[in-house]
Amino acid sequence: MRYPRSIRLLIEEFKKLPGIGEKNAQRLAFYLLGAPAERAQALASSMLRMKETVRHCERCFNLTEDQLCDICLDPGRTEGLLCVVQSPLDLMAIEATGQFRGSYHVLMGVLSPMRGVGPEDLKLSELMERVSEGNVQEVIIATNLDVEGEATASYLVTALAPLKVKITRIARGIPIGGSLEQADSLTLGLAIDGRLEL
Amino acid sequence: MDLEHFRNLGRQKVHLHPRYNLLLGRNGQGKTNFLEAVGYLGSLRSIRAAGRGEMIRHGEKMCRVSGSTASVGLERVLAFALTDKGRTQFLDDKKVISPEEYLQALKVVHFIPEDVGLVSGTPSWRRRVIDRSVFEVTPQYVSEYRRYLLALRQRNALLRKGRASKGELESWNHAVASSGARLVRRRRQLIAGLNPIMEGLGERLGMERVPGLTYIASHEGEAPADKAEGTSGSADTMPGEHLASDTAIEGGLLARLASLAEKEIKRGYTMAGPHRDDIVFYQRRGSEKTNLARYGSQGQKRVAVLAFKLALAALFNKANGTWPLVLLDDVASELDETRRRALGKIIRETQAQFFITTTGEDYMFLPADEGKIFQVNKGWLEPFEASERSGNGDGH
Repeated sequence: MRYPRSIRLLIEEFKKLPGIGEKNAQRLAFYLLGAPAERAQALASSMLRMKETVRHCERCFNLTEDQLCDICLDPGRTEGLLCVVQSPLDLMAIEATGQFRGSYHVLMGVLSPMRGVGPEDLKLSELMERVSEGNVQEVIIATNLDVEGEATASYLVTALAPLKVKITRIARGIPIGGSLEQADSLTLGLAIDGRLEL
Repeated sequence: MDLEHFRNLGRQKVHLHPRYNLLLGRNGQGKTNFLEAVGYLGSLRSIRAAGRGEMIRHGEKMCRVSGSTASVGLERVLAFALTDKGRTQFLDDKKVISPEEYLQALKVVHFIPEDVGLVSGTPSWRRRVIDRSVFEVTPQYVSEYRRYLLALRQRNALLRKGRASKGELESWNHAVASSGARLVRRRRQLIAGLNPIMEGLGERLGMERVPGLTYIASHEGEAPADKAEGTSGSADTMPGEHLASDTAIEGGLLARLASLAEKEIKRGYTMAGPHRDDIVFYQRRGSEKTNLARYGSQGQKRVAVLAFKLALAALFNKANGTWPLVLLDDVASELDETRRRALGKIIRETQAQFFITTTGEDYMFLPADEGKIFQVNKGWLEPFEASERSGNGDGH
C-alpha cells in the first residue's frame, strides 16, 4: 500500500537519521500522526531551536549556547589538567564519570587521510595555543584506541613535545566486570604491558 | 557425509572411515569433487579456488552438503548450502552468521597438485597461505590483520596526497609499524613451529636436503622492498630464523619507513611492512641453505610443499588439540615407490583423518583394515572390494 505523500516524506526523513531503518521510521511517523498537534509542534521547534542556538565553545569546542561552555566557566575546574577528546560525545562520557575535575579540549575529529582529514582540519593550533599559555601541567590524550585514534595520539605527542608539558594517555585494559578469558588478546596484551604495581 | 547436487556427485550418504579414506577412479569421475566438498565443509573455501556457482550441479539451483564429525568426544553436525545468491552455513542445525565462528568447528589441510606452484609462485600467494594458517592457530589474528590493513590504507591515502607534513606521516608510520610488528611476529612464530616438523618430514620422505621456510622481512636489508612483486627479492642468502619481540620489529619497521618516505611519496604507496614480506622455501643440507625456488627440482618442490602441508596439520593439532582433516589430491602419482612407502608410513602414524585420491593402482601401502577404499564412478562412491587389490597390500 502507498502512504499519502506527506507521510512518505516524513518516513524518508527519519530514515536519514542514524540507527533508524524503515520499520522504526514508520513507527515514529505514525506515532506523530496520532499524537496531538502540539507534540509535533514541540518536536519541530526544539529541533530548529537547537540548530539556531547551539555552537562550539570558543575555548574548548565543547557544545554551548554561549561563547564559553559551562565547564570552561566553572571556577572549580583545574586548568592545569587538560583532557583531549575527539568529540563532544566523548567529553560527555568522561563527564558522566563525575571523576574528572580538569578541563577539556575537543579536537572535532581524528586524523584520517582516507576521509581527507589532516592535522589542519582538527582543533590543533587552538590546543597548542592553550598549552603554550603556560597554565597546563598535564595533557591527557583520550582519543579512541582504534587505528585513527592512536595515530592522532602519536601525532599529538610529537606536536606537544616542544612545549615541555607532561603528556599522558588514558589507560587501556580489561573492562570492569569483564573476565580475562573473554578479553581479546590485543586488550589483554596491553593490560599486561600497562600493569600497575600494588 | 550427505551430498546433494554438489558438482557431479550423486545424491548420496557416505560413511567414512575415521583414519584414512582412499578414493580410486579414473579422471573426471568426481574424486577431487568429493575432496572439494569435504574441504568446503571445513573451510568454506574451495580447494581449487572455484566460485560458488561452479560447485552447484549444472541445472540445479542449490547444493547442500552436511557432515557429522566426532572429535575429542564431541559430536557436531556441519552443513552448508550454496545458491547463486550466497552461502548459508549451519552448525548443529543452527544457522551460523559469522563464518569465523563456523570455521572453528572443523579444520582442514589440503594438498592439490597445483600447490607445488607455491614454491615459485608470487609472494602474495605464500603470504595468503601463511596468514590463513596463522589464523587457524590464533583466531584473533583476523582482527590484528584488519587493524594493520586499515593503518596501511590510511598511510597510503596520505602518501597519495603527496604533501604530508613530517609529523603527520610519522604518526601513520607508528600506526603501520605497531600493528605490522604483531603480524610479523605471529608469522615468524608459525614458521619457527613449522620448520623442525617440516625438516623431519622431508627427511622421512627421503630428501637429502630437507625443506623449511625462511621469513624475508621487507624492512630488513635492501632487496625485497625494491623488487617488483612476483620476482621476489629473496636472494640466495637465506637468513636464519630469529624471533624478535614486537618492540624490536616495530623499531626496525619504523626506521625503514622513515628512510623510504621520500620514495614512497613519489610512488604513492607503502613499500615496507608485512604486506611486502615474503616467505621463502629453503632446502638445507648441514649448514648449507639454498633457495628451493631457484635450485630445486620439480620433485623436490613437490615433497617440500607436501611436507609443509603435513607439518601444518601437526601444528594445528599441537595448537588446538585435535587433528585437522588432511586432503591429499593425487599426491602419489609423481612420487617413486620408496617415497610412496614413506608417505604411507607417515599417514599411518599420523592420527588425522585422511582423504586421498589416486588414479593409479597405488595404495601407498596402506593396510585395508585401517581405512576404507572407495571406487569413484560417475559421481558415485562405492566401497572397493578388498579382493580386487591382491598383491597391492601393505607388503610387510
